[in-house]
Amino acid sequence: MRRLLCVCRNDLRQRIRDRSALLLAFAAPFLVSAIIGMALSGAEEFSTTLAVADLDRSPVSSEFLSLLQSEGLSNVLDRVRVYETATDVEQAIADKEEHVGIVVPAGFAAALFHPKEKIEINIIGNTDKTLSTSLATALSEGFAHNARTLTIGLATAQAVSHGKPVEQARLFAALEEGLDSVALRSDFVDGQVKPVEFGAVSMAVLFLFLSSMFGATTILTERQEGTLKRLVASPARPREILGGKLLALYLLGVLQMGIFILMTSLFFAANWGDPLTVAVLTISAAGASLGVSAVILAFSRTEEQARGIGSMIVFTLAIAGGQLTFGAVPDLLQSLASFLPNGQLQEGYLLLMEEGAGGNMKSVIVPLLATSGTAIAGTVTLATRWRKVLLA
Amino acid sequence: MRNKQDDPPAAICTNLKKTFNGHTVVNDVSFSIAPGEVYGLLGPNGAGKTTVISMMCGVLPRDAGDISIGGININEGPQARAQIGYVPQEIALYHHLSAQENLNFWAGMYNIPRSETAKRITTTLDLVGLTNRASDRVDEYSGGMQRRLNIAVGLLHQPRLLILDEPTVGVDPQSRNTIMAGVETLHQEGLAVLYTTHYMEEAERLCDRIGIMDEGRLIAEGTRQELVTLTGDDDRIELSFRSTPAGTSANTSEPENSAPRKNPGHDRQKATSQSPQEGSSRFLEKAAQVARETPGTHSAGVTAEGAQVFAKNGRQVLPRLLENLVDAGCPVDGVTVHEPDLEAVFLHLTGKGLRD
Repeated sequence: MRRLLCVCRNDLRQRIRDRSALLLAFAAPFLVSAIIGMALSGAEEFSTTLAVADLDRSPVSSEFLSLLQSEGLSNVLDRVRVYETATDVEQAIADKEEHVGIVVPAGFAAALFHPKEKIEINIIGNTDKTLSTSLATALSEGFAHNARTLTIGLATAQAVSHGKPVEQARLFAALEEGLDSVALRSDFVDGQVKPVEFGAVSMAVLFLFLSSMFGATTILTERQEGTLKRLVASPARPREILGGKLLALYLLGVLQMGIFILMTSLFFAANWGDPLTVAVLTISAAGASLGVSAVILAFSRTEEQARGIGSMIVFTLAIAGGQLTFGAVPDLLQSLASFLPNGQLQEGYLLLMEEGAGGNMKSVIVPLLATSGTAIAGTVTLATRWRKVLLA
Repeated sequence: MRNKQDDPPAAICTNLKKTFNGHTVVNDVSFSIAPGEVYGLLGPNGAGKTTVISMMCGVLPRDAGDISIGGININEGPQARAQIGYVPQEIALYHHLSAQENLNFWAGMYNIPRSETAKRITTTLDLVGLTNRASDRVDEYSGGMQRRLNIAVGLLHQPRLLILDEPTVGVDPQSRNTIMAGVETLHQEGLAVLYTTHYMEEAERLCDRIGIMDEGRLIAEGTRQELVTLTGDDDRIELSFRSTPAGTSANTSEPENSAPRKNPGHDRQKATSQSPQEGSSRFLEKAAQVARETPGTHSAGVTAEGAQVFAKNGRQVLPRLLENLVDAGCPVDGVTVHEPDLEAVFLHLTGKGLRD
């Protein structure tokens, strides 16, 4: 046991002296999550400028313009400027004076009253303003659908009243009422998790698993430098050597996650949830990272091989587990994430964030099982191949 | 350090064999090292020296054979390995740590009692001359200092057998000399050492006995003198002359009447070009003839530098030879006596040079 602890202490001391390792384990995740947090916060405060040309000049199209300029949309539409022609709008977009343009063509209102006719609203966008273009499209579609629904309703009312004309004022009133439902909501389904917290969880998980790759390479570096050979030639038993090294990797993983959680809580005001449950999940998370290290180590002969195999494993996990994609992945990949230790781990931390102080072990039972299972599977794999790792 | 006659041999290796991918790299190698003996494994790169050492230290599993260290079978693992101070060819140190921290770690690995650790570290650092750099990080050391610390790690636990695997590879002449002087000191103190090298001079200077390895086999073993007699070679005396009657330096021609040499190393050193000046040639021929007629010589011939003479004991023959040459009007300008060396032995046994 003394030798195991001796190996562990020695490895910890070396890692702490190695500035590049410190940078990767502690500074990089914090820095990257700060950047991501800022980027996601920027998305939350999204706003755009809009150019509009009303070529229809009908009461209906005027109503559409009024809607766009209404107070309700001012949080996303910084400015709405009216242009005379479609060409003017195109020019303004091309000159980057406006982010996106809407052209209401002549005959728009007339088409509303003829259900078989296609309603057209032209959206003029910029490729680098896809979100603005999507917003303009959504607003136009919403308005057109509401307007058509109301005209159909109007026609029905006329038919019911045996041809007696329905007052246009009532139509507009109905339109206004219907359009009130067109409002952008920037609420998140998971309500309590802020973008910066989501970024912090993703980066914590990503860098924890990246560290597993570097942990494996440090052991193989020792092999190339001859110190591993020297350890094997000493009276230490193989289990003491490997045990000490794995224990050091594990403790570094716990330390890395602990410091990261602490720093994001202090500097980003991230609320990770119930401290005890977060601590248990973090201890288990470091185990999963250790399991991945053990697998990389078991199947690599050189430092270069470990980097290759490790990169493949870690980045595949990160993409499939959602640490690099921020949820923007096909359904298949999202389903796959729930079978991966890192996907489960991310899910576990997010659940604890959502539940706040109310979170408990029950909430994260599956992530705990997934991460500790990975730890066990990895170390068992390494134990069956220790000769290949330690002996020349 | 130990040097007790009753002690078991520092190491006994019997019929060691190792195969990699069907290629036998160590084949039936047996040798033993007495307590306090410096045993050299001499051979070119790829001869199998490091593989033998790796098997002795338990770093590499062997395919066949037995190893015991200080009377303990290597199969007993930790107990046997604790008898060895292993110094690998690489600088096997933790470069982010200081010398003291490195030694402290290895003290823990060898279960040196904590109460003794500090004293042991001080003594060992003193032995390798690194006391005043003890707190400096290893990556701030010169290559030679790192080599010395590398050896210090192997000595820290006072092993029964110190194994040095090519410890002078890539070091400057000064550090090389310091390392060899250190090994000589350890030898005087009674430590058994297994020293591998492909430098013949190191093996000649340091080792009590030498095993010569080539292509995985131990092809010869013995003291330097025993190995040299295997070749049956004579000493070679090289003579140069002030001037010849033609007024030029002594020049070359194929030596005549020289017996065929067993040693290809000596053959290689013979010159084969011919002298353009007859006078010079006649002068050198005369000198060679005088040498051949001197009692104790076996043969003599003309070379590029002057003449060379072969004799069983060159130093004994030399005074009479010089006297005869002066009497014959052939004043000698320079003399060099070459005794047969391990390089020559290796050439004799394998037909190739140590560094081929």
